[in-house]
Amino acid sequence: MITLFMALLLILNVGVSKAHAFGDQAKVAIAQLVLEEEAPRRPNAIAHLTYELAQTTSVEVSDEVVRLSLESDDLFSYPFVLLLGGEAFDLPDEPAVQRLSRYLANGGFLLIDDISGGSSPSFDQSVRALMRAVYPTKRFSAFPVDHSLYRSFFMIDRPMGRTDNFGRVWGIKEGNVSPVVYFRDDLTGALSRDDAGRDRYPCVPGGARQRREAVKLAVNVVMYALTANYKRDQAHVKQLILEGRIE
Amino acid sequence: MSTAPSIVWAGEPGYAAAVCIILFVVGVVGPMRRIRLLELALMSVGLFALFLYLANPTQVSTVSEAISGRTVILVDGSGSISSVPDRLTQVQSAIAANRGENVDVFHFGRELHAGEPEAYSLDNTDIGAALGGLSARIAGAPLDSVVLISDGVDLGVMGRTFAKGEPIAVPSLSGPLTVIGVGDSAQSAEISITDMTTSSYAYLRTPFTIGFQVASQGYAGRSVEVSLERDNRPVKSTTVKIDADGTGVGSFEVRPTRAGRFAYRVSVPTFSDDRVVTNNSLTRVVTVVRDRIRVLQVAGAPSWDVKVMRRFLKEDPSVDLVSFFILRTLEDMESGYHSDELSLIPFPFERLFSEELETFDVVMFQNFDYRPYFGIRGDDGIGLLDNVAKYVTEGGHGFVMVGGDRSFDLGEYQDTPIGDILPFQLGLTGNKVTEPPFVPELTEAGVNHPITRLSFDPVRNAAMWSQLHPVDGANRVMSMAPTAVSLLSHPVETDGTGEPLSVLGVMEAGEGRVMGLTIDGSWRWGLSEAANGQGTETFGKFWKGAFRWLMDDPSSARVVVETEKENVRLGQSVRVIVRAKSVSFSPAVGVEVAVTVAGPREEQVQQLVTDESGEAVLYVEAETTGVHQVSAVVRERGTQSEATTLFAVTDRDPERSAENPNHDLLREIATRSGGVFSDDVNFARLRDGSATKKIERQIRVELARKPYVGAVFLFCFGLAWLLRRRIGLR
Repeated sequence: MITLFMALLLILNVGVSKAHAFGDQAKVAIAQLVLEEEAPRRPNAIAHLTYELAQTTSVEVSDEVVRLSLESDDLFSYPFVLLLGGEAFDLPDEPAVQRLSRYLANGGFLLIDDISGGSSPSFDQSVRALMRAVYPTKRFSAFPVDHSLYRSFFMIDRPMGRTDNFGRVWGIKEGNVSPVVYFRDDLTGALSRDDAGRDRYPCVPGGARQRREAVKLAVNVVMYALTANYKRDQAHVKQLILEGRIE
Repeated sequence: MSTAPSIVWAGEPGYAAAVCIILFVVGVVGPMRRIRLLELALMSVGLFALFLYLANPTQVSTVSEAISGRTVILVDGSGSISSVPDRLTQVQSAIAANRGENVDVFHFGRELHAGEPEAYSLDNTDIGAALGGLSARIAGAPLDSVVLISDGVDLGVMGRTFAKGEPIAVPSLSGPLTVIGVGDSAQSAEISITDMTTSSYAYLRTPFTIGFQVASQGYAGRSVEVSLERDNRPVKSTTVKIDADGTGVGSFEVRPTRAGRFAYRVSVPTFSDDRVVTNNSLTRVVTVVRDRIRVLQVAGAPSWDVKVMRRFLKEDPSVDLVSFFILRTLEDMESGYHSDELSLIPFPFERLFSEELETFDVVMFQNFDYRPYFGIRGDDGIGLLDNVAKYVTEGGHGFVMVGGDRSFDLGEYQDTPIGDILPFQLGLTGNKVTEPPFVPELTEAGVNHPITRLSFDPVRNAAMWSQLHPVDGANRVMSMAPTAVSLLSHPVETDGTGEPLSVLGVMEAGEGRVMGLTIDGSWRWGLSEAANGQGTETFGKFWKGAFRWLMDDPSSARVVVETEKENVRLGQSVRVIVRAKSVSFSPAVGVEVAVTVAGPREEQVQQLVTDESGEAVLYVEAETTGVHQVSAVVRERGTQSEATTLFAVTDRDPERSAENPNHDLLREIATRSGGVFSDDVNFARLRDGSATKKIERQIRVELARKPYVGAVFLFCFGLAWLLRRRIGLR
């Protein structure tokens, strides 16, 4: 029996129990970055994600719902922020851009989600303009198939959200990590639920299987934000190759 | 024996004759009468007496004598005699057997010295120089006998020539030579380390090889244990089979686990029949350099603290980081995902904490719960924790435990081997955590500690700590460990003994160092500073200082002393460089440096002053073989800093390692000089009975410088003067 239990531990790399940190402020929270005042969008998407994280991973997550602006004093207390939108937005002023630049350069992480599923070029143009302001010499590039984000917790073969138009994730690389991740297939749309807990939007064309993949991708994005290129460490790569899970 | 006497004129006969003739002529002047014939006769007699007095005829005769020749004893006073007790005893017996009247004793090493040696410690034995020096001293006088007492270990021309099989030239001696050989090469056994090969540099954790050769006599076919020591501490040993020729070769593979300079010594045991024990080991100094710092980060769960720590270490090119994060707990296994969907690998805790543990410089437990792994199999789990404890206390490595709900008492580390090395006493009952955010306060010890000294300006340092972002709670502990020091404390909370609750404690545990940080929010220091456009100065300085301290990194020292080479040959000059930094880590200019170089047989202290680049240089002559410890003490403004290093003078001391006496050389010396050799210390020396010295002595007898000659002169001249007065002459 002990041998069986040990085998389970070894396979899944698990601990025995989930403990509790020094209060909620020490837990991992996902904040929504708000560039322009607007009504909350994709309600409960973050709550769904934190629920999945708590159920699936060892990460201590906070169920706190936080909306921040770039000018907020609390921005630097939340190393993971989510920017979602589907339309064009105004470029923040220079101090705000500088603040975002410092945030990203010192450990902050930004997930940008195009909730239009790529149907609104104006959001994409605004996003790229913002990133040009933050990173004048860098451009988005699609993550290669062996990127750490695709294996930070789940094995992701094809990234999907509410839609499945692109099959890829973009990012801006700084050193060996990507502090900015850009997804254009409405990830939060796949996570969003109504107050009754039902899925708010259908995932097309894959339905439930696609939503499951979207949840896995969302978990991977948070795990990537927390562990960066951990999964590219030799110990992991060697073992995964040994087990035939990657080539 | 005497020669026939001869007469010589010791005075001035010509002068005397002239005076007499003048006086005679003057006296003759005047009328001649009969009475004057008498006067002239008296004057002539008187003048003749005067002539004899002044001319001083002297009788000279020569007498010669023969004196017997002396005996000279030449004693080998070199270290090869004292290195073997039997040889010293034999030499002293031989001296005693030949002592007596007409005996002079000299001793020699490189040169000849008068008298018996006080200590048999001279170097570079040169028998040829000693024999040649004897000829100069006695100036060719015949000697009754010359006795040479030696073991034949000759490091001069004669020895080298003989070793090449060429004829030797023995200085001519003025007496028969008796050579008494001491030492016994025919019967007693001998074993030594004759060669040790290794590179002067090695990389940390990268194996390197130390080769050695054993030479022996009387050990053929035996197995001999060869030991390797590092700084006088055993490292490993191996068994070497001695072949028929008496030699054995082997090697050690060494995987250095600490950076620095270390003296590695290869040695064979001291057997009871081993003739020379001073050649049983050889030493080389190896500098172990650190290519990169290797850190093992084990985290109980991903968190911002874990992420920022990993990011900090990954961005440092001098760090080789291996991270293991526990990504899933047992509860998470119920979430409905198949293991094939997961990208997780087994946590190789057994391998990490056993065979690979020594490959790391620092191990960090970051909110890591050991129980699912180390504790699940009872003693085996504790054994892995014990490995970590020994890795610190015996291996001299660093260990950090960072706070969280899986750390310290919350992780139930009390009563485990890890609990024994932590800077905190665990076993707290009741509330084991304090949740309200707080700003840690610098303790008195923290003001100057390299971990918490973010600035050398104490005021700025205190300000930097007070202005940090609050952290999210902390683990509570029972108290500080007895030898631990608290560097940061909670502003209001107390530990189980009522003392301010330590947030950061450090302790030296055995050979290693341990740090306990009871918070998991140091990441906030970096991001909060970034918000103000200050970068992450505090976070970076804090953790850089921590890792340097944990590794006892010499680069963080204010004083560094180095020698250009680790291993130098006998007679070479060693350049010792001291680099001193001020408290602000700028070059310390014009400060006094005391450099002590302590070798196996001597110690020298030099007072130096640093130049404009903060350096002081000293040259040391490598005069004795063995390891030399170099220490530099810098005093500046009431503070004292010290650094040490070492180097080895690697030549085998030929005097003290000469295992075999060279009686063949002594026989050859005796043969070529027409003398005799014996290894019997009581051997009756050859003597030359005809070796005498002839001494001639002159005997002089003055014939005329007598009182009666003066009396004759005065009488005759006085009577002649009276006669002249009587006849009216003046």
